[in-house]
Order: sequence, then C-alpha cells, then structure tokens
Amino acid sequence: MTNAVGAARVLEFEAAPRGRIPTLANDLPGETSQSTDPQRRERESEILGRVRAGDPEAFEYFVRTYQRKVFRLVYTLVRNAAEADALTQDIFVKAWRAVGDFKGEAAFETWLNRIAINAVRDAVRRRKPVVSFADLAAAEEIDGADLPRAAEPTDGTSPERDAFSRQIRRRIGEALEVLSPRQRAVFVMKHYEERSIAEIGAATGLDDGTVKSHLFRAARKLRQKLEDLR
Amino acid sequence: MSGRHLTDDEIVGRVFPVEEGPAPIPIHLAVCPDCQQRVAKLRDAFFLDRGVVAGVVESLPGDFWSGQRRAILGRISDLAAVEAEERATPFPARFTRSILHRPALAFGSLAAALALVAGISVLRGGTEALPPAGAAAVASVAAGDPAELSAADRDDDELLRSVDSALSGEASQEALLPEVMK
Repeated sequence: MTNAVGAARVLEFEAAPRGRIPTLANDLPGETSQSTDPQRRERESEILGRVRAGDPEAFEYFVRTYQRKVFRLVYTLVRNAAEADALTQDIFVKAWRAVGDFKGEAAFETWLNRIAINAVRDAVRRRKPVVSFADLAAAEEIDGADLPRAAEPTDGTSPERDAFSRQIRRRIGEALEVLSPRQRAVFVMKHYEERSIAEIGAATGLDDGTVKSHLFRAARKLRQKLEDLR
Repeated sequence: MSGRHLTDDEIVGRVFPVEEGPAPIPIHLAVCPDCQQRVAKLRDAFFLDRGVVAGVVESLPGDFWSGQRRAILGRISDLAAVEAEERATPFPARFTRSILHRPALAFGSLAAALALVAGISVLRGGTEALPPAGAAAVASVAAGDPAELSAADRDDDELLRSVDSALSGEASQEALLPEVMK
C-alpha cells in the first residue's frame, strides 16, 4: 500500500514538470502536427508539382509552413539566433534547388529536416576549429544584436536564482558541445523537439537501433559534463 | 528505505529516457528524497534550458519571420531568373554580368586572349620557317658561313668551289689536267 502510494507520488512528480513546459514540437502559430495527414501530403504534392514546373512563388507555402520549425531546430542545435537565421535561409534555398530529387516517399517535413540536419552538421564542422558553443553564447550579445533577444526565464524574486539559471544554460550548452553533430541532432530532436524514434530515424537516415544507441551515448556524455548539477 | 540509491546512469536515464513511453519507476525512487532531488535537479536544469530555447523562438516578432521569408523567396527568385536565362541564352547572365561589372577583368581577359593568339602565330610562323635540322646543316655548309665551319671543312669547301667554278666557268678542262698530261 505504501509502495503504491509512493509510486503514484513519483508518477505525479515526474509528470508535473512536463506539464509546466509548453510542448515544443507543434506549439507555434500556423503549425500543426499533421505533416503525415494524407490531405496535407496531397496538397503539398500538388504544390510541389507547381514548383517543379517552374513556379518559384509556389514554394512560399513551404516557407510559411515550416520556417519556424526549421529555425527552432537549427537554433537549438547552434544556439545562436543570427547563425540560425542564416542557416534557415540556406536550408530553404537548398530544398528549392533539390526539390526535383524529392520523390515524395517521406513527408516533405521529414525531407526538410534531413536537409536541415545536414546543413547544421556541415556548419558545425566548418567552424569547429575556431568557435565553440561557449564562444557563441558570449558572442550572442553582439551577433544577435539585430535580432530580438529572448526574455531570460526568471521568477523575478532573486538575482542569484537568475544567475544560477544562466549558469545552468551555459553548462548545458557546453555539455551539448561535446556531442558529435549526429548525436546532438538525435538528442535535440528527441528531448527538445519530442520527436519519435521513427521520425528521428527518417530525418537522420539512421535505423531505430542506431538512433537509440546515439541517444544512450549522448546521455552518458552529458552526465559526465553535468556531474555537479545532480 | 527499500533498495539502493539510483546510479548516475539511472538518474540520467530518468531525465533523458531512450525508450518511448513511460518508464517503470523504481520503488526506491518513490521513497528516497535524495534520489528524487537528484532527478529533479537535473530535470529542472534541462527543462529550464528547453524553455529558454522555446522562448527565443516564440518571442521573435512577426517582422522577423516576414523578413526571413522575403530573404528566402528573394534568393529563390534570383536563382530561378538566372536559371531561366541560362536555359534561354548561350551565354549565362552571371558570366556576362561578372565581366561587365569588372573592367579590369574584361581588359585582362582580352589582353590574355590577344597574347595567346600572338604567341600561337609566332610559334606557327617560326616552325614553318625552320627547316629540319639536317637540312639546316647542309644549307649552312652550302652558304659557306665561315663562322660555322672548321678549318678542314673550309679547305674542302674551297676545293669544291674551285672545282665547281672550273667545271662551269670559261676555263677548259685542260686546265684541270696535271702539267705532264697536257
């Protein structure tokens, strides 16, 4: 009886924080979780036909529909608003250029995520010798000067607590930095975007077992980096 | 207290589960405030970070998104125009634009092309004027260029020339006979 009550308390305890945080995957205006909806896929297929036929303006539908999701995924991975903006633009341009290669076997969103992950991986590899996440976090004040700054989460009661929050964010940013680009993409899609293993596999080109293996290794590496937070 | 404390990997596994769906809860976690606190601390840190990331995107104004959209569609429109022009004309627009916008490049290209043509002309002209090596040697001997002849060659040459002139000139063949034979 005691155990049952205790387990119920833990269930409540474990469920509570997720309820406080907005669902990330599909919580933005103009977004829905219906990328696999047959009607939507049919509509997107028809618009893709127009794009392939040489109507570049038809592509605006895809930009409007997916730009926030792509930006958020990229921002979570690179942690720099200006860089995420530039990469998001590049990703859509790449998608437009490659639209002739899109066979329609997967959802357009899945295909777009794949382009996004590859673009971020390439960008991270290019800058790796000179820039780190920690550097980017410090540079954000300058690089993101032309972009609106996110409000720091604060309860407004304690500067010490706000400082602690910033410290935790920086530590998590540094911890993500130790992951390989692929591990980081898999980890972010699972725990920040709340995508399923199957969706992550489709977006990264990995099978389910490999996705899980990356998740397990990523969590282990993070544990080592976040040792003193526990 | 039932069971042992959760290991580090188990704590991480609770916050970052690999499997989908709810994970079974160890009985010990239900009754151990220390383990609950360790799980809560790591999870709160993660949720704080995740909330900030979501907040960044949500707090961006409509102008940002419309500006980004204009930039993307502008680039696509430019690329589409260039591709259409390339299909329609033999000289791609980006090639002619890049030349016309860079006078130094245009003059440099022209000069290089002229130099190439001149070089080829000179080479061809020179090749045609030059006879084969063996013929050149014979011609040199025939011309009697003293600078190119050794002393022995010069003697031979003089002899040949005197014979030649004797045969073709006014002197009779008797002149060539030894005195005793005349």
